[in-house]
Amino acid sequence: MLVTNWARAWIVLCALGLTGCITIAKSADGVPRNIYVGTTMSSTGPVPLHVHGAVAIPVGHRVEIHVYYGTDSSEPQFEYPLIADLETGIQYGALGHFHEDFSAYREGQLFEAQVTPMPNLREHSRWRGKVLVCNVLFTGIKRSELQTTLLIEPMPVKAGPSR
Amino acid sequence: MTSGAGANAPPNPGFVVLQVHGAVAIPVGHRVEIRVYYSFGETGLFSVDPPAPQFDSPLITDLETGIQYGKLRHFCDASLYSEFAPAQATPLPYLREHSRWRGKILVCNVLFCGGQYDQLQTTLLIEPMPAETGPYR
Repeated sequence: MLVTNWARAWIVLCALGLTGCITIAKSADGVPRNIYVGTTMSSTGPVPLHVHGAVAIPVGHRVEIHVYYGTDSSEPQFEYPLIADLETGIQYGALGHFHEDFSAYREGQLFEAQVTPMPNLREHSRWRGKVLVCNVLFTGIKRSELQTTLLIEPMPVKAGPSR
Repeated sequence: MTSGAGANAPPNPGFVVLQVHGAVAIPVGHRVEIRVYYSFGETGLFSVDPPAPQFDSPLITDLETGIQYGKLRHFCDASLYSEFAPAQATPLPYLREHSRWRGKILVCNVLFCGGQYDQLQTTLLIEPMPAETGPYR
């Protein structure tokens, strides 16, 4: 009986913990307020983005963030956005944005990626902002991993002319 | 390096698509110089591989910023090092150059590929520039 009660308590605690970890709040304008799994945010204002790789975008540059649905899921891939630096034209994304799915990967392999995003990508959301902070970090965990932290101030959506 | 026909062919047959390892973030519109060097060749127990041009690992110079993007072996011949490789500031003097050409960046996509070592890859679409001709003499 004691073991069963502890097991039940453990299950309840786990459920509460998971719920707290996977919440992704959205604002009324559709701009995600929490782009990565692991935290909850209810405040408005600048949006933190944690992305893989070296996404070295100068502070002050305007960017456009595209979030796509996964090819084999109905969930938006917030953790792999396509980020376009509107000042330089450089795009930072995942291989899957520019190359079809692959099953095997050889170390050192180079893919014949397209120059434009795959036409079959389904867009979940798109928004623009200005970079306030850009930190390119060498984590050195297990492998030589690079990670970038961006803090982006969303820009208001422009209203088109009345017609 | 690809150019011409194929599923991922550049929009203009004269343009060149380069797929390179790493994050080679060069702004659109910047002029670049591409240098291809020969490998050193290898002599094995039963075969000899002659030196061959290494098109998949060019040395790319952003002519607007001066930043060079290349492989460690362009700047360092050490095979063993502890934390940092003792890389030179300029390319090794004994590298044999296969070709050199200039162009303008039309597209630059820096891609996170994942994989065992979290590889990065960059796709560059480059419009070759005509070779400069010097004065007649």
